[in-house]
Amino acid sequence: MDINVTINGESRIVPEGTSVLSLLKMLDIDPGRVAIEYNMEIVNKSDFNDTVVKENDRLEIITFVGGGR
Amino acid sequence: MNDILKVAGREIMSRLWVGTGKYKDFEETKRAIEASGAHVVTVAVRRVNVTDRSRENLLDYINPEKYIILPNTAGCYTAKDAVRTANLARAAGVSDMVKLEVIGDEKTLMPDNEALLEAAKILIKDGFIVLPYTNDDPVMAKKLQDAGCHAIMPLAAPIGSGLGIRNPYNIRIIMESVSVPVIVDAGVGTASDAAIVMELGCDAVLMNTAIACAKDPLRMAHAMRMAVEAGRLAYLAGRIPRKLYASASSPIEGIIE
Repeated sequence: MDINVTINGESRIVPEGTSVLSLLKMLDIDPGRVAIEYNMEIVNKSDFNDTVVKENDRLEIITFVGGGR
Repeated sequence: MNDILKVAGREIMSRLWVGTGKYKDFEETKRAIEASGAHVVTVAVRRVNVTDRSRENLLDYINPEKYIILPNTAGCYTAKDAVRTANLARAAGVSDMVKLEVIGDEKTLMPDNEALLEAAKILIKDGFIVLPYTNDDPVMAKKLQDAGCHAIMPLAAPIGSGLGIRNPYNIRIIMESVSVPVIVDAGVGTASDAAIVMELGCDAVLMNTAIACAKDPLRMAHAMRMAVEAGRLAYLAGRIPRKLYASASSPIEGIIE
């Protein structure tokens, strides 16, 4: 079964039981370069594999970009 | 000579710190940083573009093993947003330092010092190394130091304005008011501005626009590097006092009569 999650404000359909780590792989994002907020709580990198997304979860995936002055 | 800057006990190998915004591309960013000799490089925190993954990552060009990556909270207008951004930056795993910015006004990009102090207190309690961007206000600088901030980053002039150091006297008073490093952040336009900052005795200077938006960013990066070094050396050497009248440098004795 598929579930609906919101990633960076956009709605996405993913298979049930998807972990944060596999989600990053699906999106082609290097886990080493990002930080993740899962329903407003930060997920430690060590927990990426054990955190499984659920229906209507909200995820923020951030990285570093050019900026500062 | 041993003249190494330390922030929160950490050795920083340059007194010129740079930002990473406004460059043409990552390659130019990388080359400008190299030309500047900067050891500390500030970066912003933003959402990953999940629909267009073709974009490269800045950190592929700026090696976190080589540089001290200093995440900033640019674009935050509340203490809550700044704290959230700082926490995300730390979770990304490159640094527990943060250049804390809480902007109070979109047009001037002046800091909201009340919110800044509130955010600083929360982050310090949570173990961050906090470097706050603030006004050139000695009272505020002292409050931020007393809250536990590890350096003070007063502006020389509004962000991106290139006006140079508008109130050198306030910057001097800030340096007398606090014992943590004072790092001028924002307002530098050209090399002489950076030299003046350093001649005043500031510990370091952070800039971005002055290099990135120069006609030739790589040349300007090199110029800034030399200006910061020259200014620092001049400060350490101790300038002569300003005098109204001339003072001959050749001996009076032995003048041909």
